[in-house]
Amino acid sequence: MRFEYKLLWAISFVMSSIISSASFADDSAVEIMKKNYLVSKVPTSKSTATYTLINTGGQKRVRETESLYKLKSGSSEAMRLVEFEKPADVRGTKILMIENGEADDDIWIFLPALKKVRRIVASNKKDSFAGTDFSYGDIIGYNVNDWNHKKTGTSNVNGTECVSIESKPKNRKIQEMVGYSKRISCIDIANYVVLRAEAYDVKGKLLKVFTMSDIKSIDEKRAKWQPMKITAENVTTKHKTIIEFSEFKANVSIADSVFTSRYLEK
Amino acid sequence: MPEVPLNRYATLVIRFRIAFLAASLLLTGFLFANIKSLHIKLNIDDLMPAEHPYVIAENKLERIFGNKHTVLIGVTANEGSVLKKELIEKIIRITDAILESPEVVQSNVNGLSVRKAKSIEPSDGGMLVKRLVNSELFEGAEIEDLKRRLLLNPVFQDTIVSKDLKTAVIFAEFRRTKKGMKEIDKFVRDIVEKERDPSVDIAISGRPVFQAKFEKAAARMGLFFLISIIIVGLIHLEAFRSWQSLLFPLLTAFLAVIWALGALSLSGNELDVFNISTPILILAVAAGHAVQILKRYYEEYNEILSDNHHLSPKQINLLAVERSIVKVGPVMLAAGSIATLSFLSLLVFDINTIRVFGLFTAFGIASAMVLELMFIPALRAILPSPGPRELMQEKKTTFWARFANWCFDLAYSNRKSVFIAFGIVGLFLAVGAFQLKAENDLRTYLYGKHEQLEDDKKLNDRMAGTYTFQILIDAKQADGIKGPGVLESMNRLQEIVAGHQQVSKSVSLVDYVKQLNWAMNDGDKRQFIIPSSTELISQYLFMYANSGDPGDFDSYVDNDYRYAVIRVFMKSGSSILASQLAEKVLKEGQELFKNTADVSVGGGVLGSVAINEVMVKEKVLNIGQTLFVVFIVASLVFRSLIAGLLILVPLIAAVIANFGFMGWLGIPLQPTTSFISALAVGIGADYSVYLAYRLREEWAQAVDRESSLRKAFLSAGKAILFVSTAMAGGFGVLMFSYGYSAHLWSGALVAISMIVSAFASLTLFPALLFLLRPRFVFRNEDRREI
Repeated sequence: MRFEYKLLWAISFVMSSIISSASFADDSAVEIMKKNYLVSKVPTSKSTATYTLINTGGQKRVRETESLYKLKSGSSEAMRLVEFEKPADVRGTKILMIENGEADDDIWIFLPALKKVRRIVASNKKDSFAGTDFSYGDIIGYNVNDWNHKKTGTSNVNGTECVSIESKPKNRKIQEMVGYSKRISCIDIANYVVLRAEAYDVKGKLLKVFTMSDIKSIDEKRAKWQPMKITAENVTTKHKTIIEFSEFKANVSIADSVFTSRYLEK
Repeated sequence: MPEVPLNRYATLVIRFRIAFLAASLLLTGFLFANIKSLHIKLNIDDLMPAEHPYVIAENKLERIFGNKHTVLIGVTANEGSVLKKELIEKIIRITDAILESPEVVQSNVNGLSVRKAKSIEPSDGGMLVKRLVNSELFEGAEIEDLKRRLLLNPVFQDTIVSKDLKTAVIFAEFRRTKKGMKEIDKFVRDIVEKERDPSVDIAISGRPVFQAKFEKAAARMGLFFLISIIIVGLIHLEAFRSWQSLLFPLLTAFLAVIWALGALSLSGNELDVFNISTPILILAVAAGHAVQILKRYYEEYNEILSDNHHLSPKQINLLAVERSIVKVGPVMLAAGSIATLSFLSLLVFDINTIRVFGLFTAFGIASAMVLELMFIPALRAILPSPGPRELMQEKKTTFWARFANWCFDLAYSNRKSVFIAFGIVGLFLAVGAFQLKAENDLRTYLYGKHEQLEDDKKLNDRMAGTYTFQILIDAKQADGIKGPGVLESMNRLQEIVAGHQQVSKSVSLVDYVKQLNWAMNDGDKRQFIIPSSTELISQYLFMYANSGDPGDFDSYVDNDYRYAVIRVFMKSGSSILASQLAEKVLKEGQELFKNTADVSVGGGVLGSVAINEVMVKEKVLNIGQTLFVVFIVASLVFRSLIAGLLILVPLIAAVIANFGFMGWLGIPLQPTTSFISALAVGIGADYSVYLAYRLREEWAQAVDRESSLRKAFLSAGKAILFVSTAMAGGFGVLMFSYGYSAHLWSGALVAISMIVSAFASLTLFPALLFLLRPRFVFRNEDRREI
């Protein structure tokens, strides 16, 4: 074989290797994100959590909630009911969130003082969830197929190695709805739980940093995990919200009727 | 007056002149080296009286809500509405660039495209909370919807968008920087400059903008200090017609300023904006003392020369130096001590700027005395003797001598006319003084054409007003602000404030709560009210929070809902009107809230009110105290209470003239102007002390009484004229600081005070002396013969 042909063959081999490894990397990123999406999804759960909102000056406001969670039958889409127990002036306020796959999610709120259920315009997943630094999207989760995912390397969060995955919305409509131009998630490859995540605003500026800790197994059989402490910090306003689960029970019995707007008024 | 044993000292200075000179220069070098660590406080806020209730409230407001150094940027469409795609894009770019500043308080930036600016409207049985302009996704198609939402949300009208939709304003709060407000001003202007084009008129205003302007004005002071030196020098050159007489007082003055600045730095104090012109004062006072001693030196030189033809010029020079120290030294020490002590007495005041003023001036005057007794005689002894032309000039009858003669004739022969003239003019000026107003509006510190004034006027005309203050409500417990009773009282207070002629708008959480209730009741206008239950209010706010962002209401209520603020927008910056309104708010607030909440006021224009109330009060007290110290020290120095009282007469005349002119010319009494009378009192005592001392000296050795007293006028009187003219000229130069009222007022009023003080010292004071013939001047038995 002439030298020129050998060189051409070598270049072709290297190029094809690069291309194939790149597509492998992308596939693997999507797989990881899919596994992450499902990692906390148990059929049902009941939990008690404290939301601590901390402003720039370090002042805190604490809210206590009880939540019920259930996956729709035969689906990975979830239904959530969050009821506020404290502070006293919002006691009994309930928020119902129902994932609807490709369609807009349903979000309802019940105000006990008004004794009425109101629907929240849910096309904006970027809106704040209950005045916290988490958006509805951050709470409900993001449809893996709406984003392009790419592995960007590995990292280390508190001594645990994790894979960094950059996710960008597939189109402008999704970007507008979620309010992020990019998310970088560092996922523990051992259990697919996000340890740390960054969210960038539409202009590409870092907006929020999420950290997850105290990760516990909630369903060993199905290999489901849940961080018991989740922190979101808005790097622009320096406002911070910490969600801490004091109690988390998976696979409890919950009727579907709980996740209806009519039930909210009860 | 006690005789100071200066003979031996004078001999010592002359013998060891090189050592004295070297010691003086070493000390100068040491003090000069310390000047570089002297910090100059340019921020007027640092001068606020910390114990004043408005300042306490302001500091609390700043701690909880920020908003102290707020810049307003108004974008006005030159044609039609500002709500056009290109103009909104400009607003977005300006806002985004401002948010990039590390000095900006991000949570206190407001405007059309800011994240927290959200409209509230009814939607599907609930409410729709939506950003006015989503800067990240703005494409222009939503402008009609934006107009509609702006009209539905009155809280934004005339605050961030004018009612006619022609102007949009961006509010940005900045942290103070060490480099002062001019850094912030430049940062904002650089951003805005890129957006200026024929389609828009962009105006910038706010306290930082004006403070930046004053910082620039303060920087002019170095130039005016140099011009003052030249003017003082030229007046001395005209008076003595010799280069040495030009250089000696200036050298003394210049070194005195260096010594005073160095000593001030060593004492751990800082200069501030109100003391930035004090070096000119020290320069003029130090030059004044130098002139007195220089004048005497020439007189002594001529006298020795005429009596001792056998002495060489060098011997005469040394002898004249010695005699001038011996004869003028005691009176200089007396006059200088009176001034130094009177300025040092200001250390008892609470306001730091007054203490620094007292200390700095005292250091300056004391330095001038030390230099006159140490450095100048040593230098004079080293330099060659004055030439015949220089000596002849001293003897010449010049304008100064003719004027001193005229003053003597008035005081000696026309006492009645002097009393009548001073009585009439004094009465006229006293009437003016009663019209004096204590007013402190930052904008009045400028006059003429200034971009800042023009921009401020534009924004004031187009929007709710660039003058603001805040009402702080403390509900005394967490979530107390959510109580309908407290919110109703806040609403009522806003209505009361709105009734004031100068108030165009007030904004608080109440406006949002009413908007939420309106939205949740399907936009029923009758429901633009405060709901009647705490739970409902809390849950509306909670509901809003589900669409808004944490911190959207941070500008109006604190995290715990214990404190709330009502922001009041005014068209006028008058501290008198603001003060009246603040008092009304406090009174009505107390009645409305009773025990449910505490009400305090502060911020914005009320900062100026607090500064004025305390500083003007303290300055007026300061005048009284200085007069008292002058009286005590003068009484002790001359061992006569009558002396103490009479020395005060020219000073009181200067104070009446100062306040009278201010009253008639409409110059407000505020920190800068209130300094002037205190200053005139502190330094004016020199004139009468020098004159009284010289009159006594001449009277004691007189053969012909009238010509002896006249001689005192031609010597000390002439020196008083040189000094006061140099003072008036040195300070008067500030009148040429075009555009700055504070400089114009200082220049004019100090000049007037000095002239009146000197003229009264040369006419009214001696007329009283000649009338009363007190023992402290006229010691011997023949005193009845005048």
